[in-house]
Amino acid sequence: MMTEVMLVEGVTDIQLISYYLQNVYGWKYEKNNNLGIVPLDEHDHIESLSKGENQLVLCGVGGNGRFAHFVEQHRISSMIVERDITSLMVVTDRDEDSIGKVARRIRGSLEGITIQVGDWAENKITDSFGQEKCMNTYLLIIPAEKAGALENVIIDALKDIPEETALIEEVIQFIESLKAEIVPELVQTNKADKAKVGTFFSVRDPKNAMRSFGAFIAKIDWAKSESLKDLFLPFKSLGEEKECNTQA
Amino acid sequence: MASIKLIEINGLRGIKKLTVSDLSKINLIVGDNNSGKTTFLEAIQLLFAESQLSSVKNVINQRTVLNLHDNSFYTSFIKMFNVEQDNKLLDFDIYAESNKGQIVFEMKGREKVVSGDDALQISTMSSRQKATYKKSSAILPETVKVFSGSIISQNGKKPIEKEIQFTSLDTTVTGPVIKKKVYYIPSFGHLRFDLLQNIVDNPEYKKLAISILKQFDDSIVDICYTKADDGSFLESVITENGVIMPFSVYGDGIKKILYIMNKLFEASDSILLIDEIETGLHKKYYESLFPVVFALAKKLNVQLFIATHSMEAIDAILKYGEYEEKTNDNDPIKVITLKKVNTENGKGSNVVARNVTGKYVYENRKAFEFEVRL
Repeated sequence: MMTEVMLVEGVTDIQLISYYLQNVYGWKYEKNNNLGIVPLDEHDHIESLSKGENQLVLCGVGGNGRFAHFVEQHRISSMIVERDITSLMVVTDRDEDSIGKVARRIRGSLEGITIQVGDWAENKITDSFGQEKCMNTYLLIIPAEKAGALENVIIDALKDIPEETALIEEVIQFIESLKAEIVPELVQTNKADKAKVGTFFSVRDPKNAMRSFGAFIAKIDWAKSESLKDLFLPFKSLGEEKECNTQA
Repeated sequence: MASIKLIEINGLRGIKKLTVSDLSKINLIVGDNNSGKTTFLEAIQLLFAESQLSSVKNVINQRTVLNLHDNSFYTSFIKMFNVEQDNKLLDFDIYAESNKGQIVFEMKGREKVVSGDDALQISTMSSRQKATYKKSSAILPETVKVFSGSIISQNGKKPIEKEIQFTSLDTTVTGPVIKKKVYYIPSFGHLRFDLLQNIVDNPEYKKLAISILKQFDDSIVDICYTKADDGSFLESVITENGVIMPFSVYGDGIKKILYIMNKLFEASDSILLIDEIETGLHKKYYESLFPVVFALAKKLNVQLFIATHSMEAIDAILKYGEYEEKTNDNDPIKVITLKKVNTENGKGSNVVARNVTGKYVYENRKAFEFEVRL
């Protein structure tokens, strides 16, 4: 039995990743997790999935500036030492930063843990009984190839789902047309991307227009997106035995 | 009297090698069944045992507190040695660092098989006992096991080594009565009574005991010895209506509390070991009883080692640390979890320990399902 933990930024990340894991990789929703992680404040969002005997705990930390806070509040470092956690994956937005800067920020939040961008890293952990064990870590930065955030990933995914391509292209043009005079705020790429995603779903599913992103998620067949498939490929390893050698 | 800071156990029962350091005034010993908790408590008692077989027997017999028969001493004795020892020399040793210096207890020897007649010669039985044995046993066993070895103890002074030899025929091992230096409360010890000895003649202590008993039964106004019809003395309760009730009619909770308080007083300036503190106690009394026990232990300068299976008991004990209110750098509570693990070469097992502060356990339990007991 394996227990894995994924730290992500917020609720939207959890909703998309959870949907994807359930519909593409066969994970199932669980009410509770065996680590006993529960939200400690209004920013935390916890969701648990299982696949066979294995469990994956998705933790929304409440924004990219709150990884360190979440790790401290939930005593993730102690949890890694005291519980059998086979892997820890961190998924974070790249935003306007370089890959290196994002990686440094995440490493700073996970004291004593080795984590690599785009690759599994083996960590030798000595538990408090003095026994050695191994934990794999993975840092997934989205999008990997360019600046941006989850919204950018969603837009790219919609573009390559044949049934959604026409609408997303129209929405992109519409939002771009507003930049110049009507809504100058949309000059900022991240805000324009949020507007594109919000507008797309409002038009795509008008009866849920006033609801949260979670209500739209199931309307799209995300499995058809090749870009999302590539980006989320590391999720394939979740729930599977990964090589982890505790020998020095 | 010493309080111990570090203990090292080698080859005792299931413990091949175990070191636990940074011991505190209140030490919780937790772990799964068969993880070595009782062995750990026995090791502490053996540290303070004299170099004589009767001292060792007292420790062994605590495992069979309710067993009136005494015919398995040899087997119980041999089982004290780790069964996975490679050579024929049976050996275990316990070492401790205390505020009074080093303490060592070692027992070693060999087992051999001799004829029944030879065994009777070697036996620790008196001539009279031997004669009785011959009479009562229809057949003298053809072969009998004999243990020959020595006990070495050192407590501050020079080590004392004493040769020992006894056979599997020997059911009684006697020796001089020696004042105890460490006190032990077995999980069902309160069923043997001996509840009031140190309480009734100490007005202040008695008042405290009665105030705690009132939580169980508000009508209790006094505790004392009363004379039964046959002239024997009964440990009794007097109610507000003047009714005298022997403790035998009361539930385990009251007896357990008095038993702990009685032993606590006896263990002044010493060490008290409590096995399965929760036995006989309802969890609703934990939070009122444990702070009293700890406050008394502090006042009487008693180092506590408390073995427990109960998470409710652990949580109640941790409340004594007041970790929400205090930034306590000098945490009085240590939580020592024992765990049986397979040895690295895959042959056999050993016991390992996690020794963390009460605060560490408290904070982890708040944040996630921290497995204290495993």
